[in-house]
Amino acid sequence: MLKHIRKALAVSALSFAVSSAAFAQDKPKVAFVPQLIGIPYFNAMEAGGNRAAKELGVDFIYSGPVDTNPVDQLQIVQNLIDQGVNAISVSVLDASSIAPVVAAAEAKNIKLFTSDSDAPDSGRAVYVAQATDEGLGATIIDELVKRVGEEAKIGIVSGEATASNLNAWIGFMQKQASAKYPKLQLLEPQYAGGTAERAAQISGDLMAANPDIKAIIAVASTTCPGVAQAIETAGKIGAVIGAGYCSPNTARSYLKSGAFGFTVLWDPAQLGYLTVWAGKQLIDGKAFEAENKVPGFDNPVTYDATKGILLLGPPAVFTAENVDKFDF
Amino acid sequence: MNRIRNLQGSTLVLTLLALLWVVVVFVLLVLKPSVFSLATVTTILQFSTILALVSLGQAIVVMAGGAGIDLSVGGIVSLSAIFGMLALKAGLPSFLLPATCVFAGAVLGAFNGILVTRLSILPLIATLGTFFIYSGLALALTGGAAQSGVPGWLLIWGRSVFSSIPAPFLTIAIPVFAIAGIVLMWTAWGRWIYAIGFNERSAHLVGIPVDRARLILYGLSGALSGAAALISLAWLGSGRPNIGQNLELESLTAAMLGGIAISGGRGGVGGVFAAVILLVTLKTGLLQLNVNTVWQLGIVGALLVFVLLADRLSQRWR
Repeated sequence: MLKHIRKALAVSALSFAVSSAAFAQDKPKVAFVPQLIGIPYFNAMEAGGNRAAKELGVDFIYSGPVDTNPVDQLQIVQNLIDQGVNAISVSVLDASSIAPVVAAAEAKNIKLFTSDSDAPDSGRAVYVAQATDEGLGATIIDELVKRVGEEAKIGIVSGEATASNLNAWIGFMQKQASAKYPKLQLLEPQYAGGTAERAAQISGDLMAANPDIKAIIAVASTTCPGVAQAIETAGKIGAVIGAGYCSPNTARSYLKSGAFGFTVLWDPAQLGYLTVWAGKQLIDGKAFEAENKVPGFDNPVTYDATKGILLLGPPAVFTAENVDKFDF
Repeated sequence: MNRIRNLQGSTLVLTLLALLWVVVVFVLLVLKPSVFSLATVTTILQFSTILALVSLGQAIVVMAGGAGIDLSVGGIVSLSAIFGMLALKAGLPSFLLPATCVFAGAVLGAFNGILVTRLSILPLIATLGTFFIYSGLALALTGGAAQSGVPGWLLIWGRSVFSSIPAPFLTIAIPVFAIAGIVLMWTAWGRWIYAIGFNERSAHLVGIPVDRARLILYGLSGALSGAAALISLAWLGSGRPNIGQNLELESLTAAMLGGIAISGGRGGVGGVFAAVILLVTLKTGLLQLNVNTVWQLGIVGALLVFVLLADRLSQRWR
């Protein structure tokens, strides 16, 4: 038994030496708790957060659960509060990930806010949003019209018929089309569920039934590969443009082959940067303006005071030219 | 003779756990003195409550032998929480919510018991099946969405703290462990459970109703999971269809770490309690030091292997 104690002492002495070096600086600490660690999307946010931390002079702590489990997430948030970091941002799995600790954070004067995913009525300080549904819907129509003109026939392939975010995007596509481009013909949305095969089949049928179709929008990211493969196997690259909401890594090969003209999403690295910037603002006690100048952002970042939402900006458009700059 | 050896076994485990706990606390103290506040104590107990109740249920099922194991505890927690919230939406008076959750858990647990004792399905297989049924049903009933609308008075209980001890821990976990400890140590019932676990055939021959006892233990394990579900509602403020995720393995880890023999008939609830506190303290400590959560899984695994090894070696030396 004595041996174990001795070993433990040796280990603890060693780790003390390591950690006292790490805890030496005394900068304000901003933490971000993702929904899940080890996936490219949140890795990109972490990278953006680290960049912001370096440029803005704060310590950035990135810690998240290994499963999408709200209790694990809550435990991480609770421990960050006990540690006494200055600001904590959470991409909440569910309102319950922060609801029990909002009061505790307030009592210790810790700024608790949401980023990437929101819990509106929890009492969070601000929500750093990646994009609005309206922005995503309108952008994809505008970008398509640039490529195929205003008098085109466009098919829509979505995922689950019950997914509220996908349906909201489709609604805003239709709204944008009828308001700005009355001659644009959007076909009724088709639902592929969660599989790429079904999306490929539906896209093939769409192209066969509508020989004059000019573009197909893949609404769910799971449908992107299916739509692209259908365009490739039908030999219609160039004649039909694929587009959709999918990450650069998902769409890279299709953008390069020409099956996809572009994809619309946001840049999680920028979102991570903005999250840390917002944390710094809150710590410094600076109120958000209606339009905020953030270093490294081309456009000013807008703030909606009534809803408490800080918006990253218009969605990013990924094309064959710029896709290699992104990794998520 | 056996009784004395059992005692030595569980004392050894308890000493080992206490020592490990001291080591964890000591290392933390050296590395990060700021951790030592009453808030950390509250945090540890808060996150121990659900795991402690579920682990106790797991422990009594394993203790009663016959390859007993309850892999469905996580599913029971999820489904009881969802069932309680759905019942509330259907018009159940809110003061009945606690009883509904516990009762739902007991019924689900008893179903496990029926599969194992009446239909003679191996517990590992039976509860693996019900694990999928229960957690799948919880997801299907809600479409994966969290159920809000927990009554306010329940939240007050679930989130209040009495001199650094969270109310659910004080009012449910401690009494339940005390009762379980007393029953196991000083009543005939407790002796029966050890006897069944130690040697099922002789227990049967001396007239202990083995099957009925096991059925009741599965039901009790379910009821404890139902109580854990209630605490999750009172604490989080909503019913999550996957709230019980990972609890089956975590509770099994706590039970094994706490000195419950996987073959049954050996161990005590004190060890389980100590193991839960140790596990949560360790997890909290690693989080406080900002150790990557991926490493935490591995460290818990190493701890389990270490304690079981120590236990095994001590038996061989004797």
